Amino acid sequence: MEHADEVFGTKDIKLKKFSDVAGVFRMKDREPMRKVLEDFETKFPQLFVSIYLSAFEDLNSLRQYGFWMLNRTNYVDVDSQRPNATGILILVDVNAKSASITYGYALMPYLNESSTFEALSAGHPMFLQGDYRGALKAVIQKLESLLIKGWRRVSRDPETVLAAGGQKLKDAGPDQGEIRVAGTLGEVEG
Amino acid sequence: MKRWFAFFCAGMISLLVAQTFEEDAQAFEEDPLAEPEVDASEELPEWNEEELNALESGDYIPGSSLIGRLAREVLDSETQEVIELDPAIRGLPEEDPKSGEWSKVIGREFLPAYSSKPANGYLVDPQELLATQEFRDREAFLNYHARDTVINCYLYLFDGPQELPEGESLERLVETKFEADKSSAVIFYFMGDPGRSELVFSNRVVEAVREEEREKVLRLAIEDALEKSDPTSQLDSFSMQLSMGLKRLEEVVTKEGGSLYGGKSFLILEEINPLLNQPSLWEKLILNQALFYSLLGLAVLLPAALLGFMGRLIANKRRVYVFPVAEGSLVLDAPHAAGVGGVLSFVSATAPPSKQQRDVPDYLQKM
Repeated sequence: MEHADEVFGTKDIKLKKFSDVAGVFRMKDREPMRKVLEDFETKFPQLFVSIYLSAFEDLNSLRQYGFWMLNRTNYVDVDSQRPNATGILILVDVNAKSASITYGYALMPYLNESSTFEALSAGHPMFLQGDYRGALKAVIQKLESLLIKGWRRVSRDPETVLAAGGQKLKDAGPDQGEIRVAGTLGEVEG
Repeated sequence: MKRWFAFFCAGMISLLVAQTFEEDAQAFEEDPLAEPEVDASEELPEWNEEELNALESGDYIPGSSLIGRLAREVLDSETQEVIELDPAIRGLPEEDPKSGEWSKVIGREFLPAYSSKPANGYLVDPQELLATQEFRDREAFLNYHARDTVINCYLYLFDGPQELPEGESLERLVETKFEADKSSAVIFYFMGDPGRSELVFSNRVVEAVREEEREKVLRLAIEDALEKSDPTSQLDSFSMQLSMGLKRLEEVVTKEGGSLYGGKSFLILEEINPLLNQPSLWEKLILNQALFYSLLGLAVLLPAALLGFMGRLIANKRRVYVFPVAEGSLVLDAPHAAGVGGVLSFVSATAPPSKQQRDVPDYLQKM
């Protein structure tokens, strides 16, 4: 994180969860894209997805920038019950024609590099055609299916699944599991 | 033919009369005062004494031999006047009218036609009682009836007063000339006197149909015929009602589960028609209970499963997924996120995504 801070700065930034800095979205396409993000939040009330499209010119590593961004960004239009640890950032460099996914601690038991690459691949044909809206929608749909699979796994055997992600149940009460609605999904110890 | 002969005779008589008058007129013109010559054979009869006395006493009525009917009326009248017929006439034997006797007899030449089954068609009229067109109409009607129904209808036409020769009867004709195993109705119809009509069915019909139903056919046909006055119209009504009656008989037999097998497909007995013995698809289904209930179950389960699947889809779409609360340690000193996911490059349209899995942008590669 220190290295990233050295590269990109130590100051937090404020952004909306859908930011099209590159300007590839038309006005009429932005609202449907926001609707997709809201639907995701409805389906997963503890999580959120953020999209950032930019045209970088001297970016060494898109993955590193995503890592730094999700840790330093304060999303102004995401409610406080969804911290960045529950977020998924989809970062698109329209100049270099590449995209990456970064996710918070809470999602580490359910996502990994391979599955997120699979999600990005779902949008590959549309990315190639410049259809960013279609591509991002396909990526989010794929992420949803991956998360649902993860939810099923953790519902059956939460401890094993969480342990694979380097986590454990915070408070294993009788209601722990699929129906518990927690204010904070992932909590980390400093 | 008779009419033509009568016309011819009348013409000849009028010609002779005209010729006679013409000759008399010529004679009168030649000598109007001359008396006509009297032939001795043409002299008028003279009264003899005895007759004259009887006439004067009122015992004899002139012309009584000729006007016997009138004399009878006078005799029957209340006046009780006694009229004595001419003894010469009185002695004559009573004679039946020859024409009436003749009309009751069927010509010998026609008898073979009446005593056999018609080779062609269903109408037998050897005496030509029907005009040609009427005959054709009736024949066409009977042919149509034969095509439409199982019971064929054979119609023998007689003149109204005609009597069958001794030893001949309709029953005998049907018994000897018609096949018992075919459905036939044979009718002797008397032109102008439909009440005398006779109807006999072949054995197959007799076996299949109750007697009252059979009798009803003829009775209704006669009643219909009697409503008309013209003999031809009577025959029309008779045959039409007869046809309807026979058709009704078939329906009665079918309803009662009987059979009038006469070569018609729709009344062919099931046991001799293998096609009819084969059960239909529905019957097969009903007979095979396992298959029937399986299909019934499928018919119920399939829509239910479809509905359930659709319901589940809708429910899944509206479903909310909540993950368990977990805790863990920081990674890479990152406060929120250490999950570094995949990177995809979409520079090449030909290379697959797996070949474009890199984190180094093109502009850096160029450098």
